[in-house]
Amino acid sequence: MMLVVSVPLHVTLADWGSILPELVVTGGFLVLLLADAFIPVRRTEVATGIALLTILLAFLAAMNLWSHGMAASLYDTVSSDKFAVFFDFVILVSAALTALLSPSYIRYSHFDPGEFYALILASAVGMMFMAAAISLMVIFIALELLSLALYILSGFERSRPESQEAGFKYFLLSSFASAFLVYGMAMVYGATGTTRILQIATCLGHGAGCSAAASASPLLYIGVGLMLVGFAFKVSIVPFHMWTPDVYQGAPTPVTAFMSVTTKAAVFAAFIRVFNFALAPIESHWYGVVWALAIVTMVVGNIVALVQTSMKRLLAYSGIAHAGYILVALAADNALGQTSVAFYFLAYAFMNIGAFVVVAVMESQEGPVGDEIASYRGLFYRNPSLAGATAVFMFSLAGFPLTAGFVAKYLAFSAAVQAHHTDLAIIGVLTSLISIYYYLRVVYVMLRRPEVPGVQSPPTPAAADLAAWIAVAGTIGLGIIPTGFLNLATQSVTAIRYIFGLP
Amino acid sequence: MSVVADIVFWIAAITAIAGGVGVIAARSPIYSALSLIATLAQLAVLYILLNAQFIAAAQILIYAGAVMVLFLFVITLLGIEGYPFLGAQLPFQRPAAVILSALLLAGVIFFVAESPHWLTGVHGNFTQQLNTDNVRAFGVQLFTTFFFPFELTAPLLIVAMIGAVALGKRRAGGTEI
Repeated sequence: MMLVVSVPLHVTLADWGSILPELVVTGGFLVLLLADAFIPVRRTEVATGIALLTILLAFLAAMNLWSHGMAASLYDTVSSDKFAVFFDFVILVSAALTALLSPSYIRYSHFDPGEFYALILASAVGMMFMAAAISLMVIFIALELLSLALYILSGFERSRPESQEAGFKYFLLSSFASAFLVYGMAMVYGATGTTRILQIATCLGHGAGCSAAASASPLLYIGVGLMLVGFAFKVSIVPFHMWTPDVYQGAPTPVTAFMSVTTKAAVFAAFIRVFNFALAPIESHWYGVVWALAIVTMVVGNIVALVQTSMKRLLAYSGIAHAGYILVALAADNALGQTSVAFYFLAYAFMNIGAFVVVAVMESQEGPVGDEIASYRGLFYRNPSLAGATAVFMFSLAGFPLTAGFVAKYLAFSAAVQAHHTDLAIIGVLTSLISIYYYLRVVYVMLRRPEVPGVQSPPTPAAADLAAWIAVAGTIGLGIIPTGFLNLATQSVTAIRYIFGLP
Repeated sequence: MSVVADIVFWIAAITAIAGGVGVIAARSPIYSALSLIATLAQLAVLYILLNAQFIAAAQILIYAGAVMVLFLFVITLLGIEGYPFLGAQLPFQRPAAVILSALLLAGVIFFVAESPHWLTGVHGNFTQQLNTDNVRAFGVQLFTTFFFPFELTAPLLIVAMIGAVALGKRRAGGTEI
């Protein structure tokens, strides 16, 4: 019997328009790959130029989408609400800073620039889709897309065994975590009968033909637990953080800079959509676990960071600690908490990538020992501007007032207080106090007299210099006049809460 | 379920479990891989009993076919047969494995005894569609609800290919690093 399939495909131009920034970046990724065959993209400048142009065009598309986004498109699988677009901004700014800091590293390590930038852009596509996903399927595939590109990039420096180790370790452990995540998603699908975030929320609120049985099914709770493990691994929450220091240290520095901010941003965006919105009706069941994870992460991250001698490992543990602070905001599960997560990542993009720009410059000038904190000794006398920038990033990561890091932490902890989770806020403040020691130790080492006085560092490469200054401007700007950006973050959260019928 | 279906179920279930035991009990990795094929093929039979014909066909084609052929290629190419079995690496590995397996079994038995239907979630209209017109229902879902995730696998596959080339290629000098 001939079957007549009568289901038309309802995909309009507006649907594609709602993912225009992602499509632009995908286009740039393909152009970089194909260009390799026709024009000499072997030249680092050409590849960097194409990458930066792509990022600029995608940024413009995202700005246009800010006021014309759709709550749901492409069969309710992606959303271009302001929350997604805000994270697009964070990811694109991070990608641009990475592209500026990479050229000297690419030449120094003899990378193929076309492939390198193509993979950075492919990873950015995955991140942007992950932030925009409103279907568990899209969350998973976008996560695989961004992770796969990052595994390759981590092992990109094939002449260095540490880089190969980092790539392989990240690949094995992270694939394991992906399996947890997808298994959990399958169980949540089994319990609720849908993969769409909005419908999961409706179902767990006993609407849309779902009985109370769905939210009482053990299947649902096993699924939620497995998904939590998957997400926690990807944003390096203790006790799923073991891969982070090794991968951050082994991967090429521009790659570490890029992934330390953007992976967390993209995964936390999806984490919020799933836990703060889809699973909001069963918050009382997951809150306790997230509470414990946040405390352990803040404590372990900050205490282990105290004894690090490598700058990249120090920043890895600092990243774990910051994931803990952001988890506090997520646990608050209120509008202020979600706003603070969005703002936190904007601040984190500037201060953390800025810190990695410094590491990259030091490594290009001093070789592999540039990663040792001891080699920062006397930097104030050798290279005052670079040392000044480093100090700004360290103060901001520690959360000193008048820097972006202070505003971000203040918002995260006040969200916890507002949600009556004062215990989390107190532990957050106490562990931040511990963190001041290791951040300021870097500043102290830079201020010590050099062993050989009177030596000047070679000049910083122009592009990396520009990246450092943009990062400094962002870090101080967000610290002194946060209002405008905070307003954007608030608007983005209002938009997503409106979709879920929350004030 | 009719008597015939019952008989088929028991044959498939017992063979699947026997295959699973074979995977861990066989001395040679080749035999382990072959046992795994037996298990996967029997699972396909179980899928047919559940009215999931498409998944059964995909199971045979992809797992028993493509994936396991790749496994066998890898095993034979690496010539892993000559390698000594390393055995337990941690001092308490064996007792710990026994205890954890027992706990898992107890958990499964507990849940099944507590309520045989604890694994059944919500039955949507999807289930009914499956009973009538399996492959068509699958196709419609793939090109509507899951149209976009399906498309998104395209860049994923491209990235995987770039990875194979970027990490596996030789440098211009012909030396492999």
